[in-house]
Amino acid sequence: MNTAGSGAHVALTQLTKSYGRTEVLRGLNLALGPGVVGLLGPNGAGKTTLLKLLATALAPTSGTLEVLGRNPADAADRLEIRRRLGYVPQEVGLYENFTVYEFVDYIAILKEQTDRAARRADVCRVLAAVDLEDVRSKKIRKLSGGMRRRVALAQSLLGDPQLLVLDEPTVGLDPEQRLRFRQIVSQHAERRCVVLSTHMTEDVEALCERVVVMDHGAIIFDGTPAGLAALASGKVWLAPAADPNALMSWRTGDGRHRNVGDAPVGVHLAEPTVQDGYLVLNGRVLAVSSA
Amino acid sequence: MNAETTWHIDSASAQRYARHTIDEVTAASVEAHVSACGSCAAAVSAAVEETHEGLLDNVWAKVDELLDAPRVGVIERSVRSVGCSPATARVIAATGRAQWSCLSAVALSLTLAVFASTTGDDAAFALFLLFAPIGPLVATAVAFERFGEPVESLLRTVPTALWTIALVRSAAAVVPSIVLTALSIPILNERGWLALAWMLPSFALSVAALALSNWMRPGQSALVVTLIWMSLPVVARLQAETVLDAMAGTAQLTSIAVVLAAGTVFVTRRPTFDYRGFS
Repeated sequence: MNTAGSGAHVALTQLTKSYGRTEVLRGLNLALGPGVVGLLGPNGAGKTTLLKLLATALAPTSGTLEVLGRNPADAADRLEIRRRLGYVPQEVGLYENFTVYEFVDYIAILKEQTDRAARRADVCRVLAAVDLEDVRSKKIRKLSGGMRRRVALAQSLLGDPQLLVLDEPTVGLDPEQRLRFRQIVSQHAERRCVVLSTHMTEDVEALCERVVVMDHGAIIFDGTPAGLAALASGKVWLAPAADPNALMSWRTGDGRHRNVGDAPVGVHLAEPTVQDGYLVLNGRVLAVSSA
Repeated sequence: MNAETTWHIDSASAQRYARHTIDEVTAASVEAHVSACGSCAAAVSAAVEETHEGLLDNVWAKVDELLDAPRVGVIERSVRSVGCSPATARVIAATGRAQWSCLSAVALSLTLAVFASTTGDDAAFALFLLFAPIGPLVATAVAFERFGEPVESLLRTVPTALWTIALVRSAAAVVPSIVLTALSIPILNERGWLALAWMLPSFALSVAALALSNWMRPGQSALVVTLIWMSLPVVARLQAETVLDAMAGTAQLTSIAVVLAAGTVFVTRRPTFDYRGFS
Protein backbone atom coordinates (compact mmCIF):
# COMPACT_ATOMS: atom_id res chain seq x y z
CA MET A 1 0.00 0.00 0.00
CA ASN A 2 1.45 3.33 -1.02
CA THR A 3 0.19 6.11 1.16
CA ALA A 4 1.98 8.65 -1.03
CA GLY A 5 0.55 11.56 0.88
CA SER A 6 2.88 14.50 1.19
CA GLY A 7 5.35 13.74 -1.60
CA ALA A 8 8.16 14.42 0.87
CA HIS A 9 10.84 11.83 1.55
CA VAL A 10 9.89 11.87 5.21
CA ALA A 11 6.75 13.25 6.83
CA LEU A 12 5.88 13.16 10.53
CA THR A 13 2.63 14.36 12.02
CA GLN A 14 2.12 14.62 15.77
CA LEU A 15 4.61 11.78 16.19
CA THR A 16 5.33 10.51 19.68
CA LYS A 17 7.48 7.72 21.03
CA SER A 18 7.48 6.49 24.61
CA TYR A 19 9.53 3.88 26.41
CA GLY A 20 7.26 2.77 29.21
CA ARG A 21 6.14 5.97 30.89
CA THR A 22 8.97 8.06 29.51
CA GLU A 23 7.97 10.11 26.50
CA VAL A 24 11.08 10.45 24.33
CA LEU A 25 9.51 12.21 21.33
CA ARG A 26 6.68 14.68 21.84
CA GLY A 27 4.31 15.45 18.99
CA LEU A 28 6.85 16.02 16.22
CA ASN A 29 5.76 17.57 12.92
CA LEU A 30 8.31 17.54 10.14
CA ALA A 31 8.50 17.13 6.36
CA LEU A 32 11.84 16.48 4.66
CA GLY A 33 12.62 16.51 0.94
CA PRO A 34 15.83 15.94 -1.01
CA GLY A 35 19.06 17.34 0.40
CA VAL A 36 21.04 17.05 3.61
CA VAL A 37 19.26 17.70 6.89
CA GLY A 38 21.28 17.99 10.08
CA LEU A 39 19.87 17.05 13.47
CA LEU A 40 21.43 18.87 16.38
CA GLY A 41 20.69 18.60 20.06
CA PRO A 42 22.13 17.65 23.41
CA ASN A 43 22.42 14.03 24.52
CA GLY A 44 18.99 12.66 25.37
CA ALA A 45 17.20 15.11 23.07
CA GLY A 46 15.62 12.26 21.10
CA LYS A 47 17.76 12.42 17.94
CA THR A 48 18.70 8.74 17.91
CA THR A 49 15.14 7.65 18.59
CA LEU A 50 13.89 9.82 15.74
CA LEU A 51 16.48 8.35 13.37
CA LYS A 52 15.52 4.81 14.44
CA LEU A 53 11.92 5.62 13.58
CA LEU A 54 12.95 6.90 10.15
CA ALA A 55 15.03 3.76 9.61
CA THR A 56 12.02 1.57 10.52
CA ALA A 57 13.96 0.07 13.42
CA LEU A 58 11.31 1.32 15.85
CA ALA A 59 7.58 1.89 15.66
CA PRO A 60 6.10 5.18 16.89
CA THR A 61 3.75 5.18 19.86
CA SER A 62 1.29 7.57 18.21
CA GLY A 63 0.99 9.98 15.30
CA THR A 64 1.68 9.30 11.65
CA LEU A 65 4.97 8.53 9.99
CA GLU A 66 5.48 8.42 6.24
CA VAL A 67 8.84 7.40 4.79
CA LEU A 68 9.45 7.62 1.04
CA GLY A 69 5.70 8.03 0.57
CA ARG A 70 4.93 4.80 2.43
CA ASN A 71 3.65 3.77 5.80
CA PRO A 72 6.21 1.71 7.77
CA ALA A 73 3.46 0.11 9.85
CA ASP A 74 2.31 -1.74 6.75
CA ALA A 75 4.47 -4.84 6.11
CA ALA A 76 4.61 -4.46 2.31
CA ASP A 77 5.34 -0.74 2.55
CA ARG A 78 8.01 -1.37 5.17
CA LEU A 79 9.77 -3.83 2.88
CA GLU A 80 9.79 -1.26 0.08
CA ILE A 81 11.15 1.41 2.42
CA ARG A 82 13.92 -0.91 3.60
CA ARG A 83 14.87 -1.65 0.01
CA ARG A 84 15.49 2.07 -0.51
CA LEU A 85 17.09 2.85 2.81
CA GLY A 86 20.66 3.17 4.06
CA TYR A 87 21.29 3.38 7.80
CA VAL A 88 24.31 3.91 10.02
CA PRO A 89 23.39 3.35 13.67
CA GLN A 90 25.05 5.34 16.43
CA GLU A 91 26.88 2.31 17.78
CA VAL A 92 27.44 0.09 14.83
CA GLY A 93 28.59 -3.39 15.74
CA LEU A 94 30.67 -5.22 13.19
CA TYR A 95 31.66 -8.87 12.88
CA GLU A 96 35.23 -8.76 14.13
CA ASN A 97 36.30 -11.94 12.35
CA PHE A 98 35.06 -10.77 8.95
CA THR A 99 37.18 -8.90 6.46
CA VAL A 100 35.93 -5.50 5.31
CA TYR A 101 34.79 -7.02 2.03
CA GLU A 102 33.05 -9.96 3.72
CA PHE A 103 31.11 -7.69 6.04
CA VAL A 104 29.84 -5.36 3.33
CA ASP A 105 29.08 -8.37 1.14
CA TYR A 106 27.07 -9.92 3.99
CA ILE A 107 24.97 -6.80 4.43
CA ALA A 108 24.46 -6.75 0.66
CA ILE A 109 23.06 -10.30 0.93
CA LEU A 110 20.66 -9.11 3.63
CA LYS A 111 19.69 -6.27 1.30
CA GLU A 112 18.49 -8.89 -1.16
CA GLN A 113 21.38 -8.54 -3.59
CA THR A 114 21.37 -12.16 -4.71
CA ASP A 115 23.11 -11.80 -8.07
CA ARG A 116 26.78 -12.46 -7.30
CA ALA A 117 28.31 -10.31 -10.05
CA ALA A 118 26.00 -7.35 -9.41
CA ARG A 119 26.60 -7.64 -5.66
CA ARG A 120 30.34 -7.69 -6.13
CA ALA A 121 30.18 -4.59 -8.34
CA ASP A 122 28.10 -2.74 -5.74
CA VAL A 123 30.35 -3.78 -2.84
CA CYS A 124 33.43 -2.62 -4.77
CA ARG A 125 31.66 0.65 -5.61
CA VAL A 126 30.82 1.53 -2.01
CA LEU A 127 34.26 0.49 -0.75
CA ALA A 128 35.81 2.78 -3.35
CA ALA A 129 33.44 5.58 -2.34
CA VAL A 130 34.67 5.51 1.25
CA ASP A 131 38.27 4.89 0.24
CA LEU A 132 38.54 1.44 1.78
CA GLU A 133 39.57 -0.49 -1.31
CA ASP A 134 43.10 -0.99 -0.07
CA VAL A 135 42.02 -2.56 3.21
CA ARG A 136 39.15 -4.67 1.92
CA SER A 137 40.99 -7.90 2.79
CA LYS A 138 41.83 -6.71 6.29
CA LYS A 139 40.01 -8.18 9.28
CA ILE A 140 37.64 -5.73 10.93
CA ARG A 141 39.21 -6.30 14.36
CA LYS A 142 42.43 -4.76 12.99
CA LEU A 143 40.78 -1.53 11.81
CA SER A 144 41.04 1.86 13.49
CA GLY A 145 37.90 3.58 14.81
CA GLY A 146 37.76 5.87 11.78
CA MET A 147 38.00 2.97 9.37
CA ARG A 148 35.22 1.12 11.20
CA ARG A 149 32.97 4.16 10.79
CA ARG A 150 33.78 4.13 7.10
CA VAL A 151 32.84 0.44 6.86
CA ALA A 152 29.53 1.36 8.47
CA LEU A 153 29.08 4.18 5.98
CA ALA A 154 29.98 1.89 3.07
CA GLN A 155 27.26 -0.62 3.91
CA SER A 156 24.71 2.18 4.13
CA LEU A 157 25.47 3.22 0.53
CA LEU A 158 24.71 -0.24 -0.87
CA GLY A 159 21.96 -0.17 -3.48
CA ASP A 160 22.18 3.61 -3.86
CA PRO A 161 19.44 4.33 -1.28
CA GLN A 162 16.90 7.13 -1.66
CA LEU A 163 16.98 7.84 2.06
CA LEU A 164 20.20 7.80 4.04
CA VAL A 165 19.89 7.93 7.83
CA LEU A 166 23.19 8.55 9.59
CA ASP A 167 23.53 8.67 13.36
CA GLU A 168 26.67 10.58 14.32
CA PRO A 169 28.59 9.38 11.27
CA THR A 170 31.62 11.62 11.72
CA VAL A 171 32.60 10.49 15.21
CA GLY A 172 36.15 9.16 15.12
CA LEU A 173 36.96 10.49 11.65
CA ASP A 174 40.11 12.56 11.18
CA PRO A 175 39.83 15.94 9.38
CA GLU A 176 40.69 14.48 5.99
CA GLN A 177 38.17 11.68 6.39
CA ARG A 178 35.53 14.20 7.45
CA LEU A 179 36.11 16.18 4.27
CA ARG A 180 35.84 12.96 2.29
CA PHE A 181 32.63 12.14 4.17
CA ARG A 182 31.16 15.53 3.28
CA GLN A 183 31.99 14.93 -0.36
CA ILE A 184 30.31 11.49 -0.37
CA VAL A 185 27.19 12.74 1.38
CA SER A 186 26.81 15.86 -0.72
CA GLN A 187 27.17 13.82 -3.93
CA HIS A 188 24.63 11.32 -2.68
CA ALA A 189 22.14 13.99 -1.64
CA GLU A 190 21.73 15.58 -5.02
CA ARG A 191 18.40 13.87 -5.64
CA ARG A 192 18.00 11.97 -2.41
CA CYS A 193 17.39 12.70 1.24
CA VAL A 194 20.14 12.42 3.84
CA VAL A 195 19.30 12.88 7.52
CA LEU A 196 22.25 12.98 9.86
CA SER A 197 22.59 13.64 13.55
CA THR A 198 25.76 15.17 14.81
CA HIS A 199 27.32 17.11 17.64
CA MET A 200 29.63 18.84 15.21
CA THR A 201 28.18 22.16 14.18
CA GLU A 202 30.95 22.57 11.58
CA ASP A 203 29.49 19.57 9.71
CA VAL A 204 26.07 21.19 9.73
CA GLU A 205 27.50 24.49 8.51
CA ALA A 206 29.49 22.84 5.73
CA LEU A 207 27.03 20.21 4.57
CA CYS A 208 23.40 20.80 5.47
CA GLU A 209 20.80 22.83 3.66
CA ARG A 210 18.52 22.51 6.61
CA VAL A 211 19.03 22.06 10.32
CA VAL A 212 16.61 20.76 12.93
CA VAL A 213 17.46 21.30 16.58
CA MET A 214 15.85 19.04 19.17
CA ASP A 215 15.65 19.25 22.92
CA HIS A 216 13.71 17.09 25.38
CA GLY A 217 11.96 15.24 22.56
CA ALA A 218 10.68 18.36 20.81
CA ILE A 219 11.81 20.37 17.78
CA ILE A 220 12.96 23.78 18.96
CA PHE A 221 14.37 25.04 15.66
CA ASP A 222 13.79 24.13 12.01
CA GLY A 223 15.47 26.24 9.35
CA THR A 224 18.68 26.90 7.48
CA PRO A 225 22.13 26.89 9.10
CA ALA A 226 22.30 30.61 8.32
CA GLY A 227 18.99 31.05 10.14
CA LEU A 228 20.35 29.23 13.17
CA ALA A 229 23.51 31.33 13.12
CA ALA A 230 21.36 34.48 12.84
CA LEU A 231 19.83 33.71 16.25
CA ALA A 232 23.18 34.83 17.66
CA SER A 233 23.31 37.99 15.62
CA GLY A 234 24.44 40.83 17.88
CA LYS A 235 25.15 38.36 20.67
CA VAL A 236 28.74 37.40 19.87
CA TRP A 237 31.65 39.63 20.70
CA LEU A 238 35.39 39.42 21.02
CA ALA A 239 37.09 40.83 24.10
CA PRO A 240 40.47 40.63 25.80
CA ALA A 241 38.88 38.76 28.70
CA ALA A 242 36.00 36.40 29.36
CA ASP A 243 32.79 38.23 30.21
CA PRO A 244 31.27 36.85 33.42
CA ASN A 245 27.76 37.70 32.17
CA ALA A 246 28.17 35.78 28.90
CA LEU A 247 26.27 32.59 28.30
CA MET A 248 29.57 31.04 27.35
CA SER A 249 33.03 32.29 26.52
CA TRP A 250 36.29 30.75 25.42
CA ARG A 251 39.78 31.81 24.49
CA THR A 252 40.43 31.78 20.76
CA GLY A 253 43.67 31.17 18.89
CA ASP A 254 44.55 34.88 18.70
CA GLY A 255 44.38 35.26 22.47
CA ARG A 256 41.04 37.09 22.57
CA HIS A 257 37.91 35.71 24.18
CA ARG A 258 34.82 34.91 22.17
CA ASN A 259 31.75 35.67 24.28
CA VAL A 260 28.23 34.56 23.46
CA GLY A 261 25.24 36.09 25.24
CA ASP A 262 23.65 39.49 25.67
CA ALA A 263 26.39 41.79 24.45
CA PRO A 264 27.24 44.88 26.48
CA VAL A 265 27.12 48.24 24.70
CA GLY A 266 30.21 49.28 22.75
CA VAL A 267 31.83 45.87 22.36
CA HIS A 268 33.36 44.58 19.11
CA LEU A 269 30.64 42.32 17.66
CA ALA A 270 31.68 39.27 15.69
CA GLU A 271 30.03 37.36 12.87
CA PRO A 272 27.96 34.56 14.45
CA THR A 273 28.38 30.90 13.48
CA VAL A 274 25.99 27.95 13.65
CA GLN A 275 27.66 26.98 16.90
CA ASP A 276 26.92 30.44 18.37
CA GLY A 277 23.30 30.20 17.23
CA TYR A 278 23.02 26.75 18.78
CA LEU A 279 24.45 28.05 22.07
CA VAL A 280 22.03 30.97 22.13
CA LEU A 281 19.11 28.66 21.33
CA ASN A 282 20.10 26.23 24.07
CA GLY A 283 20.64 29.13 26.45
CA ARG A 284 17.05 30.23 25.82
CA VAL A 285 15.78 26.71 26.34
CA LEU A 286 17.73 26.42 29.56
CA ALA A 287 16.36 29.77 30.71
CA VAL A 288 12.80 28.72 29.92
CA SER A 289 13.28 25.34 31.61
CA SER A 290 14.63 26.84 34.79
CA ALA A 291 12.06 29.66 34.94
CA MET B 1 48.39 -3.67 -51.52
CA ASN B 2 49.65 -0.15 -51.03
CA ALA B 3 48.54 3.04 -49.33
CA GLU B 4 46.42 4.03 -52.28
CA THR B 5 44.27 0.90 -52.23
CA THR B 6 40.53 1.46 -51.80
CA TRP B 7 40.22 -1.52 -49.41
CA HIS B 8 40.95 -0.95 -45.74
CA ILE B 9 40.58 -3.03 -42.66
CA ASP B 10 37.38 -2.19 -40.81
CA SER B 11 37.36 -2.07 -37.03
CA ALA B 12 35.39 -5.33 -36.69
CA SER B 13 38.04 -7.20 -38.70
CA ALA B 14 40.81 -5.55 -36.68
CA GLN B 15 39.10 -6.69 -33.45
CA ARG B 16 38.66 -10.24 -34.77
CA TYR B 17 42.30 -10.32 -35.86
CA ALA B 18 43.42 -9.15 -32.42
CA ARG B 19 41.31 -11.81 -30.72
CA HIS B 20 42.42 -14.59 -33.12
CA THR B 21 38.84 -15.22 -34.17
CA ILE B 22 39.42 -14.44 -37.83
CA ASP B 23 39.87 -17.13 -40.53
CA GLU B 24 43.37 -17.83 -41.84
CA VAL B 25 42.85 -16.37 -45.32
CA THR B 26 41.51 -13.04 -44.01
CA ALA B 27 44.27 -12.97 -41.40
CA ALA B 28 46.86 -13.31 -44.18
CA SER B 29 45.17 -10.46 -46.09
CA VAL B 30 45.24 -8.27 -42.98
CA GLU B 31 48.93 -8.98 -42.44
CA ALA B 32 49.74 -8.23 -46.06
CA HIS B 33 47.70 -5.03 -45.97
CA VAL B 34 49.18 -3.58 -42.79
CA SER B 35 52.68 -3.94 -44.17
CA ALA B 36 51.76 -1.28 -46.76
CA CYS B 37 49.06 0.78 -45.04
CA GLY B 38 50.13 2.91 -42.11
CA SER B 39 46.63 3.84 -40.88
CA CYS B 40 45.42 0.21 -40.88
CA ALA B 41 48.65 -0.90 -39.19
CA ALA B 42 47.95 1.64 -36.44
CA ALA B 43 44.31 0.51 -36.12
CA VAL B 44 45.22 -3.19 -35.92
CA SER B 45 48.04 -2.45 -33.49
CA ALA B 46 45.67 -0.51 -31.26
CA ALA B 47 43.12 -3.33 -31.40
CA VAL B 48 45.79 -5.89 -30.42
CA GLU B 49 46.97 -3.70 -27.54
CA GLU B 50 43.43 -3.06 -26.31
CA THR B 51 42.56 -6.75 -26.45
CA HIS B 52 45.63 -7.71 -24.47
CA GLU B 53 44.91 -5.04 -21.89
CA GLY B 54 41.33 -6.25 -21.69
CA LEU B 55 42.49 -9.83 -21.20
CA LEU B 56 44.89 -8.74 -18.49
CA ASP B 57 42.18 -6.68 -16.80
CA ASN B 58 39.89 -9.71 -16.86
CA VAL B 59 42.57 -11.89 -15.33
CA TRP B 60 43.20 -9.35 -12.57
CA ALA B 61 39.46 -8.97 -11.97
CA LYS B 62 39.17 -12.74 -11.56
CA VAL B 63 42.17 -12.80 -9.20
CA ASP B 64 40.63 -9.96 -7.16
CA GLU B 65 37.31 -11.77 -7.02
CA LEU B 66 38.99 -14.94 -5.78
CA LEU B 67 40.95 -13.03 -3.14
CA ASP B 68 37.87 -11.13 -1.95
CA ALA B 69 35.55 -14.12 -1.97
CA PRO B 70 34.26 -14.70 1.57
CA ARG B 71 35.88 -17.68 3.25
CA VAL B 72 33.49 -20.55 3.69
CA GLY B 73 33.92 -22.30 7.02
CA VAL B 74 32.94 -25.82 8.07
CA ILE B 75 29.48 -24.87 9.28
CA GLU B 76 28.70 -22.81 6.20
CA ARG B 77 29.90 -25.63 3.92
CA SER B 78 27.78 -28.15 5.83
CA VAL B 79 24.71 -25.95 5.57
CA ARG B 80 25.25 -25.51 1.83
CA SER B 81 25.77 -29.25 1.38
CA VAL B 82 22.26 -29.98 2.68
CA GLY B 83 20.78 -27.76 -0.01
CA CYS B 84 20.56 -24.32 1.62
CA SER B 85 21.34 -21.31 -0.54
CA PRO B 86 24.71 -19.57 -0.05
CA ALA B 87 22.84 -16.54 1.31
CA THR B 88 21.03 -18.61 3.97
CA ALA B 89 24.29 -20.36 4.85
CA ARG B 90 25.91 -16.95 5.35
CA VAL B 91 23.11 -15.83 7.66
CA ILE B 92 23.55 -18.95 9.78
CA ALA B 93 27.31 -18.79 9.94
CA ALA B 94 27.70 -15.00 10.14
CA THR B 95 28.58 -14.72 13.80
CA GLY B 96 31.19 -16.69 15.64
CA ARG B 97 28.78 -16.86 18.55
CA ALA B 98 26.09 -18.37 16.39
CA GLN B 99 28.51 -20.97 15.09
CA TRP B 100 29.73 -21.83 18.56
CA SER B 101 26.24 -21.94 20.00
CA CYS B 102 25.24 -24.34 17.27
CA LEU B 103 28.28 -26.55 17.89
CA SER B 104 27.74 -26.36 21.66
CA ALA B 105 24.18 -27.60 21.25
CA VAL B 106 25.39 -30.58 19.25
CA ALA B 107 28.22 -31.30 21.69
CA LEU B 108 25.87 -31.09 24.68
CA SER B 109 23.38 -33.45 23.10
CA LEU B 110 26.07 -35.97 22.27
CA THR B 111 27.71 -35.77 25.70
CA LEU B 112 24.39 -36.33 27.41
CA ALA B 113 23.56 -39.19 25.07
CA VAL B 114 26.87 -40.90 25.79
CA PHE B 115 26.49 -40.25 29.53
CA ALA B 116 23.02 -41.78 29.49
CA SER B 117 24.23 -44.78 27.53
CA THR B 118 26.95 -45.64 30.03
CA THR B 119 24.53 -46.03 32.89
CA GLY B 120 21.53 -48.21 33.30
CA ASP B 121 20.32 -45.94 36.06
CA ASP B 122 16.77 -44.54 35.59
CA ALA B 123 17.68 -41.31 37.41
CA ALA B 124 20.62 -40.63 35.06
CA PHE B 125 18.45 -41.30 32.07
CA ALA B 126 15.70 -39.03 33.40
CA LEU B 127 18.30 -36.28 33.84
CA PHE B 128 19.38 -36.79 30.25
CA LEU B 129 15.81 -36.38 29.03
CA LEU B 130 15.34 -33.25 31.13
CA PHE B 131 18.57 -31.51 30.17
CA ALA B 132 18.91 -32.51 26.52
CA PRO B 133 16.13 -30.19 25.24
CA ILE B 134 17.82 -27.15 26.78
CA GLY B 135 20.90 -27.28 24.52
CA PRO B 136 19.22 -26.17 21.30
CA LEU B 137 17.17 -23.64 23.25
CA VAL B 138 20.27 -21.99 24.71
CA ALA B 139 21.95 -22.11 21.29
CA THR B 140 19.02 -20.25 19.76
CA ALA B 141 19.08 -17.58 22.46
CA VAL B 142 22.86 -17.08 22.31
CA ALA B 143 22.72 -16.56 18.57
CA PHE B 144 20.47 -13.56 19.12
CA GLU B 145 21.68 -11.90 22.27
CA ARG B 146 23.37 -8.55 21.87
CA PHE B 147 26.84 -10.04 22.42
CA GLY B 148 26.05 -12.73 19.84
CA GLU B 149 24.62 -10.46 17.18
CA PRO B 150 26.62 -7.24 17.00
CA VAL B 151 24.74 -5.91 14.00
CA GLU B 152 21.27 -6.32 15.47
CA SER B 153 20.52 -2.61 14.99
CA LEU B 154 21.24 -3.02 11.28
CA LEU B 155 19.28 -6.27 10.98
CA ARG B 156 16.16 -4.37 12.02
CA THR B 157 16.40 -2.15 8.95
CA VAL B 158 17.32 -4.51 6.10
CA PRO B 159 14.77 -6.04 3.71
CA THR B 160 15.56 -9.57 4.89
CA ALA B 161 13.14 -9.81 7.78
CA LEU B 162 14.41 -10.29 11.33
CA TRP B 163 11.71 -12.93 11.64
CA THR B 164 13.24 -14.94 8.80
CA ILE B 165 16.73 -14.59 10.26
CA ALA B 166 15.42 -15.73 13.67
CA LEU B 167 13.75 -18.74 12.10
CA VAL B 168 16.77 -19.72 10.01
CA ARG B 169 19.20 -19.45 12.92
CA SER B 170 16.86 -21.30 15.29
CA ALA B 171 16.53 -24.12 12.79
CA ALA B 172 20.30 -24.16 12.43
CA ALA B 173 20.65 -24.60 16.18
CA VAL B 174 17.93 -27.21 16.62
CA VAL B 175 18.27 -29.43 13.54
CA PRO B 176 21.92 -30.58 13.90
CA SER B 177 21.49 -31.61 17.53
CA ILE B 178 18.32 -33.52 16.71
CA VAL B 179 19.97 -35.30 13.78
CA LEU B 180 23.08 -36.22 15.74
CA THR B 181 21.11 -37.44 18.70
CA ALA B 182 18.99 -39.57 16.42
CA LEU B 183 22.20 -41.06 15.03
CA SER B 184 23.38 -41.81 18.58
CA ILE B 185 20.34 -43.96 19.36
CA PRO B 186 22.10 -47.25 18.53
CA ILE B 187 24.59 -46.69 21.37
CA LEU B 188 21.85 -46.05 23.93
CA ASN B 189 21.44 -49.72 24.91
CA GLU B 190 17.88 -50.96 25.22
CA ARG B 191 16.47 -47.46 25.75
CA GLY B 192 17.22 -46.37 22.20
CA TRP B 193 13.69 -45.37 21.27
CA LEU B 194 13.29 -43.32 24.46
CA ALA B 195 16.24 -41.13 23.41
CA LEU B 196 13.87 -39.64 20.85
CA ALA B 197 11.51 -38.56 23.60
CA TRP B 198 13.35 -35.28 24.29
CA MET B 199 13.25 -34.08 20.69
CA LEU B 200 9.65 -32.94 20.55
CA PRO B 201 9.86 -31.13 23.93
CA SER B 202 13.10 -29.51 22.71
CA PHE B 203 11.40 -28.27 19.58
CA ALA B 204 8.45 -27.05 21.64
CA LEU B 205 10.72 -25.15 24.04
CA SER B 206 12.55 -23.44 21.16
CA VAL B 207 9.29 -22.42 19.48
CA ALA B 208 7.92 -21.18 22.82
CA ALA B 209 11.07 -19.09 23.36
CA LEU B 210 10.77 -17.62 19.87
CA ALA B 211 7.13 -16.73 20.51
CA LEU B 212 8.02 -15.14 23.86
CA SER B 213 10.73 -13.04 22.20
CA ASN B 214 7.89 -10.84 20.94
CA TRP B 215 7.79 -9.44 24.47
CA MET B 216 11.30 -9.94 25.86
CA ARG B 217 14.92 -10.40 24.81
CA PRO B 218 15.81 -13.86 23.44
CA GLY B 219 18.06 -14.58 26.43
CA GLN B 220 15.25 -13.73 28.84
CA SER B 221 12.68 -15.78 26.96
CA ALA B 222 15.04 -18.79 26.87
CA LEU B 223 15.61 -18.43 30.61
CA VAL B 224 11.88 -18.23 31.34
CA VAL B 225 11.15 -21.30 29.22
CA THR B 226 14.05 -23.23 30.79
CA LEU B 227 12.88 -22.41 34.31
CA ILE B 228 9.34 -23.52 33.52
CA TRP B 229 10.59 -26.74 31.95
CA MET B 230 12.96 -27.59 34.81
CA SER B 231 10.39 -26.78 37.46
CA LEU B 232 7.75 -29.11 36.02
CA PRO B 233 9.11 -32.37 37.56
CA VAL B 234 9.70 -30.54 40.85
CA VAL B 235 6.20 -29.09 40.96
CA ALA B 236 4.66 -32.41 39.93
CA ARG B 237 6.95 -34.22 42.42
CA LEU B 238 7.92 -36.72 39.81
CA GLN B 239 10.37 -39.57 40.55
CA ALA B 240 12.88 -40.79 37.97
CA GLU B 241 10.59 -43.58 36.85
CA THR B 242 7.58 -41.30 36.48
CA VAL B 243 9.71 -38.77 34.57
CA LEU B 244 10.44 -41.50 32.04
CA ASP B 245 6.74 -42.35 31.81
CA ALA B 246 5.79 -38.69 31.49
CA MET B 247 8.37 -38.10 28.77
CA ALA B 248 7.00 -41.05 26.83
CA GLY B 249 3.41 -39.85 27.04
CA THR B 250 2.18 -36.59 28.56
CA ALA B 251 5.24 -34.55 27.56
CA GLN B 252 4.83 -35.53 23.92
CA LEU B 253 1.18 -34.51 23.75
CA THR B 254 1.84 -31.30 25.67
CA SER B 255 4.74 -30.51 23.34
CA ILE B 256 2.54 -30.85 20.30
CA ALA B 257 0.07 -28.43 21.88
CA VAL B 258 2.86 -25.99 22.76
CA VAL B 259 4.34 -26.18 19.24
CA LEU B 260 0.92 -25.43 17.74
CA ALA B 261 0.10 -22.60 20.14
CA ALA B 262 3.54 -20.95 20.22
CA GLY B 263 3.99 -21.50 16.49
CA THR B 264 0.70 -19.75 15.84
CA VAL B 265 1.77 -16.82 18.02
CA PHE B 266 5.15 -16.60 16.27
CA VAL B 267 3.62 -16.71 12.79
CA THR B 268 0.67 -14.40 13.44
CA ARG B 269 2.83 -11.83 15.20
CA ARG B 270 5.35 -11.77 12.39
CA PRO B 271 4.53 -8.22 11.22
CA THR B 272 4.89 -6.89 14.77
CA PHE B 273 8.07 -8.88 15.32
CA ASP B 274 9.60 -7.52 12.13
CA TYR B 275 8.83 -3.95 13.06
CA ARG B 276 9.53 -3.95 16.75
CA GLY B 277 12.04 -6.80 16.82
CA PHE B 278 13.07 -8.12 20.18
CA SER B 279 11.69 -5.99 22.95
